[in-house]
Amino acid sequence: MKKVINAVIITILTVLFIFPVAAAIINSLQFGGTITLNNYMELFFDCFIFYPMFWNSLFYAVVITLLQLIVIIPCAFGFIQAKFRGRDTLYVFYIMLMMMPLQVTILPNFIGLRDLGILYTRLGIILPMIFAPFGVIVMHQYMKSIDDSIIEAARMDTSSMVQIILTAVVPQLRVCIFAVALFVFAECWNMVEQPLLFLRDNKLKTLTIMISQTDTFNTAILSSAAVIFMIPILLVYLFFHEYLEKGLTLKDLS
Amino acid sequence: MRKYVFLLITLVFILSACEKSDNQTFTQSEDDYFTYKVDKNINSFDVDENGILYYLTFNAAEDHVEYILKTLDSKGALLNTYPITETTNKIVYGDGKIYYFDNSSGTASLYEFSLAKQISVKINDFTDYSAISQMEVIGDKLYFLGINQKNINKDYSLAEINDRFTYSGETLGCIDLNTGTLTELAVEFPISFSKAFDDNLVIYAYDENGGYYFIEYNTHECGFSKKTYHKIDMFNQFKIYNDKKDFIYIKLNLTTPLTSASIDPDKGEIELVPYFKGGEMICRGDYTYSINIDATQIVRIKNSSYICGKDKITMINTDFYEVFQPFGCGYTIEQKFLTDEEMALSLLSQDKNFDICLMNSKQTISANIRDKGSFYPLNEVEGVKEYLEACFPYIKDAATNSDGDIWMLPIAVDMPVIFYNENVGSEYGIELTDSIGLEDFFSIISKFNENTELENLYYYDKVSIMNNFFYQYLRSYPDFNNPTFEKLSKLIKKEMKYSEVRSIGNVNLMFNFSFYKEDNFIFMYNDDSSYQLGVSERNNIRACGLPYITDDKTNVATCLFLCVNPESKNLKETLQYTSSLCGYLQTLKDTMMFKDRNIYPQGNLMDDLYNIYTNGDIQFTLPDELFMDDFTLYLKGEKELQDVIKDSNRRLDAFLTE
Amino acid sequence: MKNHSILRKQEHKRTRHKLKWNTKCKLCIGLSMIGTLIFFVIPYIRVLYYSLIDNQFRRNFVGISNYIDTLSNKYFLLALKNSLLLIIICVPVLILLALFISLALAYGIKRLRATRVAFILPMLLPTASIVLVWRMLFQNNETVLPIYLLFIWKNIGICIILLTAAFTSIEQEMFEAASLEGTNTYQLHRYITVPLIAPTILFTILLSIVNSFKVFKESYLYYGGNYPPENSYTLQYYMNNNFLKLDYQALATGAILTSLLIFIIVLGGLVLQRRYYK
Repeated sequence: MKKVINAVIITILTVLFIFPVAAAIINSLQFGGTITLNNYMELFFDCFIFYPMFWNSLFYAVVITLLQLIVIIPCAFGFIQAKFRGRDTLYVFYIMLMMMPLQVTILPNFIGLRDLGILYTRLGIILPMIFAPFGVIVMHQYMKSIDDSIIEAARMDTSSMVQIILTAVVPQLRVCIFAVALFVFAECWNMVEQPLLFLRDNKLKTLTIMISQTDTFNTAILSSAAVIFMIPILLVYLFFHEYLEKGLTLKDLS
Repeated sequence: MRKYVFLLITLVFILSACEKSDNQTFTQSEDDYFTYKVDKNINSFDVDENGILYYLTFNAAEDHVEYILKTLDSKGALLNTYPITETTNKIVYGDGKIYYFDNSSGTASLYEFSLAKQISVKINDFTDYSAISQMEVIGDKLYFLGINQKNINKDYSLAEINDRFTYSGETLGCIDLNTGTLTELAVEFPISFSKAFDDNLVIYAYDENGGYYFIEYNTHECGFSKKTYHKIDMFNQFKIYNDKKDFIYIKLNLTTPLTSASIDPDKGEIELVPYFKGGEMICRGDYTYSINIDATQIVRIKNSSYICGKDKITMINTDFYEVFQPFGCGYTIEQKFLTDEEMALSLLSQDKNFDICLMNSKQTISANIRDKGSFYPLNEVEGVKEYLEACFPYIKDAATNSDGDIWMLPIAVDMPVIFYNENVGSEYGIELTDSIGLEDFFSIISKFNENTELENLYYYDKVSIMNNFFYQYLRSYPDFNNPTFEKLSKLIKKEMKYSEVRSIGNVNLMFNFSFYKEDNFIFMYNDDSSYQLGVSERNNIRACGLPYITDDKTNVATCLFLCVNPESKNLKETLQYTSSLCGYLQTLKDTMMFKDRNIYPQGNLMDDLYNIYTNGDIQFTLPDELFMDDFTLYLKGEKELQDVIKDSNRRLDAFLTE
Repeated sequence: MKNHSILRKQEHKRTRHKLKWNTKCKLCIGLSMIGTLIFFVIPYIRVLYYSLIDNQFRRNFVGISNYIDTLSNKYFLLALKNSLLLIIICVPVLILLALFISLALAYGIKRLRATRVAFILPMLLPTASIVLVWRMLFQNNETVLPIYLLFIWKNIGICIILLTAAFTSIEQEMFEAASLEGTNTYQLHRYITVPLIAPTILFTILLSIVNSFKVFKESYLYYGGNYPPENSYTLQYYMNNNFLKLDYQALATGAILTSLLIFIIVLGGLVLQRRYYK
């Protein structure tokens, strides 16, 4: 009996969550009342701006994820290992920065990027995202669970920090790194405000912009683009979701 | 006529903008802008290497037409007159001879007229060709553009609708003047062409895949260069004037100026001198010759005096539908279109990369620019104060903020106007006078709704009228909780029912009225001041303003203006441009902004328009979304009036006090 | 003598080595700090500066008069109230729901692969598609309920995943020991499970609060404009509207006050956590 109830609950939950995705897919397959692939044909053959935008979304997401990992792994490691007086305050500071909504810093960011000369370029999107505090916080949690003895052993062998991290830290936290990478990838894939305001050239803009421009494109293109938009992130998730669950064991927040 | 006297004054202003950086002021000479007095009917003209002007004219006698070729020297004095026996409307000069086609018998026959011997000789007949529109002589070959019967039905159906390309068989041909043989040039859809300084031909054509493009044809080796894709709204002629393949053409905008442009799509355009008739144009040496807009004179301008090589002026504009560009006054204007957020971001971040904001008072951000001080005060800029003094006082007040700074330069002012024909109206029992009350207005609308046979006799734009009523209401009342508003809403709902379209009645009426001089109508609404001025000399038509909603009996106007960016990199030049523009606008007197009644034509209709515009008030309007969407729901019947009032008040309050 | 000096040298070497290690770690943080400084801290300081001047274009220093104006502005207070309500109502509901579901998933029910994937789907959909479906479902309902539901729906996936993983990390031995002692399910969960996964719960709460600010995008598209119904008017609407009106001062003071609020919340969370560990 319990099993039946549980099965029912599971089914309801599944339907609830899949429903909008299914609705979006069905919507994209419809045109003029019939089921047809017309929308996709139009997207692939008539809409030439789609390809650069898709590539841009992918480019930004991958590059930002990789570069951010390079920044946050040493930083989280440093937070664990280094001992200095302001360390915990600094950490709290990072948490606060992470929680700031985007509207707060859009204008100063714009001015800052302009002063640095990277406004309206790809670098203007990539650089600020690499240094987002979110990754540091999450990585820091997992970093606490590493085995100190392995670190000590690595320190005996070599004094190069890069070596230590690569040989001792990374293998232990492989699953956690994948988890963080997934988070970051999802966040970059969905970003809208930054490309909208910091880029002017259409050839540099992302797919999210294309989907939100309801007056430039007709519904056929928008609906099929939205479905295509879901596919890469879904694939990434499916591929790595085991790592996500394995990686998420948190023993200590502080 | 007045235009051309004032045009000379304009030139002084324009040329003063061409001040060289080492303070060498340029004084205008007659050489810069010279007019030839020619006969009333000019068909075509050409200029030879010595500056002698040849033009073709005709006399229409009782049963036949005589064609005459006249020559003028570079000072405009008549040298010779030659009668032409054939029938033609286009000539070209080549090496001491004049060439032309006679198409009167159905086939195009090429004739050569020797100026020395004063006789014409037929070179050959070309049966398939007609409607020769352009000719050039290079060496011993004549190149021309004409319609080839065989190509009339050529398929170009892949041409994009946006490109507006149409083809009726135009073909580029080359005739060897010694042998009389014709060869066609392998360009698929040619539009026009020009001779370049190195004896090449530069051709402007269309290609189904890439659109409009330029291509060069080497006349000696008979080979083509690569295509350069570049769209220019140019279907008449263009002429190369220097060895960098820059060319001059007549731009198809409101002021139809001679404009310098380039085959290179990245180089901008410079508007040189306004008001030319599309069509014939010649560039010889440092001069450009063209026919002025009234077709009464041939004008010669000296290119180097107008093409000053100045920096670009960048204008930004958020209203995507207002594709208006004020006259360039010799500067290259680059217009950029931004969204609302990008505009706010540019202003707040004190962007240095634009020079001027081109705005309309209908855009909400315009009032914020004034209130927050994001402008360069124009008080000390030469010409601005005089310009504003010449405008109506309410325009001057709108351009001055509470601190006394002149924050914007108004370029055009528009008011809604109803044109009416009293006679036609009285036939159907509809009375219109020069001042109409609210109830009367709606009873007229009601009559139109009831009586479908009147449909061809009226036209109005529902949304525009509703907006005007709202603007009037909101300038007098702080919120929507008012019996006046309720009464107005109920009237609108009753008579102007909800429909998807905003144009009600005969949508062709505006065009017919101005183009075909149609005056069989009762009631026609229009809110574009240049259209209104354009039809102001019509007899038996009168005009009145929209009815007043409140006790404030002034007419609501919207204003197109520009603000100078205080952070602009080219501030000095932008201010010089502003000065030139003031001078230009003042001499042009082409808008309904000036208080001197005498500059406008006489007549009853003009009196009515003047009375409407003199009694004006420029409105910086609130955003539509505060009330319009809800009001539309009310008109549809999906929302109650009280709910609309409540929600709109809430939004209005939020907007004003956030 | 010789031994003593060698010993001293070794000690010296180890101390030096130790210092170098600490410095190296600090440098690791330093790389990230530089970037964060340039792209996050300096903009924040700029915003602080803008909140202390009267006008973006005239730059006269006016001190805290902007703050007084903003705090007495009824729309700012409304926005603050609505944003806080969103957090106070939705986050607990979200966490409780996620706890319940992840408990159900972790104990007893065969985990269907499809279910696990399904939970993450809401987070992956583009905003425009979600809003389209939501509008169809709720038929332009003008209350704040659609947005609350949207927030919960979107974020429950990640919360479930976080909590499920935390559950499974608790060693089986704990449960065996507890069942041996004869505790019932309720006691089991209250005294053993919850404390063990408390850090995860806190982290999930933190994440949800961050995401509650991001729901502005969907809200904007759903209500279709800058002036939504009264109860949906959150802080971002206040800030965005002032941005479009070129009133950057209101935005800046609003932003600084918002960040003070966040600071208080985070501080509260940390204090709670410290207490929990006693």
